[in-house]
Amino acid sequence: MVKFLYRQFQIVGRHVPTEKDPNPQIYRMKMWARDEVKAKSKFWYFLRKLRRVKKANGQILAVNEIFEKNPTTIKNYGIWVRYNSRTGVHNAYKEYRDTTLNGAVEQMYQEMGSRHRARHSAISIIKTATVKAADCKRPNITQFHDSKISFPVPRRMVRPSSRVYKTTYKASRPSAACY
Amino acid sequence: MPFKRTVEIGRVVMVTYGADYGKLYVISDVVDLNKALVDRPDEVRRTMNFKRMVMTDFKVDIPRLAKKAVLKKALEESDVFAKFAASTWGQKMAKREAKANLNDFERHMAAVNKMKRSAKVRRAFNKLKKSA
Repeated sequence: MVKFLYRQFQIVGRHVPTEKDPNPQIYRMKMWARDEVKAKSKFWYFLRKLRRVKKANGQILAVNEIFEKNPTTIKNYGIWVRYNSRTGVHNAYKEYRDTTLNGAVEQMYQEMGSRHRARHSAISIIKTATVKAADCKRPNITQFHDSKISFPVPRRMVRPSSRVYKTTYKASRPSAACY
Repeated sequence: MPFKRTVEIGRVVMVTYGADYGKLYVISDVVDLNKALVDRPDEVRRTMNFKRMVMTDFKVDIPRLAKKAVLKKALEESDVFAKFAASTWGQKMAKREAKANLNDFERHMAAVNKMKRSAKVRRAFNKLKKSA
């Protein structure tokens, strides 16, 4: 099984019950983080922005990892992000094709890093959704919505079948031809 | 000249890198320009990068994301894996594997037979050279 860089957690927490408020509002958030600890930390970060609660006077009721239900089918994921650039804050909507949501989120972080130099700490995921093929907006995603898809792989990367066979010099010129 | 071995649903691919070297899979769906969902009757469907595989001449007629039973039936009817094994490419793969799995005695016999054969060839060649 592929080891995901960013795992999805469901975190449920609330303010500790007090005399004034014996049944505080319970909040549930879905976070993507490398591990549970970071997920919980981000949970408090976001919850502090919603109401007057911090980790010291709050309690986490549940932490569950969310796994992909159908990792053998390809889905189109739409991810709404808010990210800090060098000069301001922006919202973005990005689409990815992947078999799992964790994979799509990983793609998103990679792409944001490469295209906008936005690091993980500068990105917040607002929303994620599985988008139907008809509703996809990005042409680089919709180009794969073809049940009769067919394209060649024009150049073959010539490499040894295992790193054991890797040598600096080869006896003959490799052929990268592919037909 | 147009490309014949295209990436398409149903294309039989051979893995050329990693633990699954030499195994044949069928493309079940295309994720994006780098990855495809590949499937085999005895394995769970998974993604694989195109860099790890090479397209073969063979193709089965299956729908997108075909169920295991459908895939199995299509493979059995078309007998693609056997056809590949009978093709020149498949035979070369088999010979390579056989050579890699020779035991010490078999390797000795192979060397002895090679020497005998080349001696006969050389003798015949030298005779022809002398008479020419």
